[in-house]
Amino acid sequence: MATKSNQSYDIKKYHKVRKLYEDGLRRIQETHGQALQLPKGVAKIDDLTTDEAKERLHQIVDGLITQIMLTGRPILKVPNRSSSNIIWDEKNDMLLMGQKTTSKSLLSLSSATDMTRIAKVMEIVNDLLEQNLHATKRDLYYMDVKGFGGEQKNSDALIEDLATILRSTRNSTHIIASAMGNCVGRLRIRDGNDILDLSRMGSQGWQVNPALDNVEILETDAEFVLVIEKNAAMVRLAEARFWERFPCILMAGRGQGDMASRMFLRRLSKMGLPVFLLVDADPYGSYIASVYMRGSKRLSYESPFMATPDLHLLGVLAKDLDEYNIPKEARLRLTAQDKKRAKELLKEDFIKANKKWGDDLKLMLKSEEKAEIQAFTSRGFKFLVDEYIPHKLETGDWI
Amino acid sequence: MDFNVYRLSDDRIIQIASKEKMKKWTGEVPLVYINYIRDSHLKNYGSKKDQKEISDYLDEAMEEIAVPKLIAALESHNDDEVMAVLTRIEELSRKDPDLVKITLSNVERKQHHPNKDISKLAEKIQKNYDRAMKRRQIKKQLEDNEKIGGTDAELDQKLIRGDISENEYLRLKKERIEAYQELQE
Repeated sequence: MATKSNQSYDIKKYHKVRKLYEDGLRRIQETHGQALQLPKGVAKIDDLTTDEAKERLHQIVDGLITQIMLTGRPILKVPNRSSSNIIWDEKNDMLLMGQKTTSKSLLSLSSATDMTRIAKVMEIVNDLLEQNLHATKRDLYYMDVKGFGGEQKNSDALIEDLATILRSTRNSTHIIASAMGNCVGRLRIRDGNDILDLSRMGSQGWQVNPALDNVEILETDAEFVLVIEKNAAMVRLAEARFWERFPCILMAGRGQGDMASRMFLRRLSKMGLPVFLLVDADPYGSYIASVYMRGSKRLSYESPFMATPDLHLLGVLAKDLDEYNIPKEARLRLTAQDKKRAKELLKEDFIKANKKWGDDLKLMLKSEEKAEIQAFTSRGFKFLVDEYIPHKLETGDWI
Repeated sequence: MDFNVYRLSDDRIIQIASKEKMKKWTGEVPLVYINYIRDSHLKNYGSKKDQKEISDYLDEAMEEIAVPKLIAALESHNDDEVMAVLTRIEELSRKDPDLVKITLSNVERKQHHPNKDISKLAEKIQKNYDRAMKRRQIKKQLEDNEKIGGTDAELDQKLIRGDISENEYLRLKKERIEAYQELQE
């Protein structure tokens, strides 16, 4: 059952969060019915239904058969997923895949193995689509261990190749990644035939179903979404039943979040709900934020379906360590790897365009300190839930 | 728009799946969803005025989408689709028989379907529904009976005190025994 009222949640006190929500709702109304405008030179990717994916796969195979009959030398054009073919779309703030392709010939010694393996993946995907079933990347690997050279990384890469060949999301191929993220709070969804109330599913909530085509958002009385990097922090918030005091949906991404979690988060953000992220105060935390916001380079072709550009980095910011009196003994020294990552991030266009974010990374580099979310425990078990997050939401202190 | 946004009198904002979104759902899902919202959430949506506004919307969605969708799925020429919807209706006929009522005339026709799986399932739905209605009727009778006689112990006391006649006691007692037996089945 839905929580009866917002209890201690005072809209006036948290008016900055409400304003974000109202802005989000307005934006959705204004852009309703408009497709995402992508820049020129970017590959257009679609999220396909089972029948559409089957049809597109058959078209590719028919094309290969025609080539065999006409020339005897079939060539498959595989979109290039390397860094050189990744474009930052400044307007939509996303990393996207360009239109460069690599030609793979069945009769070339260098690509015959790849072509044979792609053909095998096509066969498996066709079977899955025909039977309307889903399989994990691990399942796919075990369907032809020898054929995939005894290494799962080979079959994993081929799934992404096939998705790009089909110009579709990977979920459209019915090959899914194992579920990692979980979600709890003021949200009602349909997962298959079941209607689930995520405010009544224990402290761990609902594990995001990687077969997202079976999941539908039905209703919410949440005002914002809070994504948490660490499961330990999620446990703290869930035990406090944070969503009963603050009308929200909590999502634990466990690191940068798997594909399904990021896709599901995007769906939530498309409802206009403000999305906040809570990560460790280290350069990797900023990297995680960047992946949620604009997608990863490896999966740039899926960014329009996975990125949440409006996400706000709530914390933990480098400046928060002093502002919230985190004791020195609860802080850690930045490693050489951390410093390298921070410097790399500072060179990124999207950080350069965000002064507050850049300043915080510079402060981190200057202080040479980092801290985990759990460092707040040094100020008491309830400090994170009762003091830090409420204060950040009230003051609008986010990036 | 995928969601209807309601700003409630208690300052909350809620979003409920729109009719546009429901149109994309399969067979029985809109019906199940509308009833879920009505049963589990509606009473918590702000003021009576807020609740009425949302209830009116749900009524509209029921009439314009849920019922036609369910009927269309039942009347499909695709046996697999019919089976899928009937399977869900059969589930509902056990959990929430009231939801099934609007489909009964279509379900009845399916009892004569040449596909045995379909006809058997349709018979089962009818049976589950009839049984649920009968149980409801018996429970009602039992409640009426208890209004007159009280609990079993109170009924006995009434007989001893002479508050009721032996014939009346026997009639009430017999009715109770029959009801208990029926409800146990």
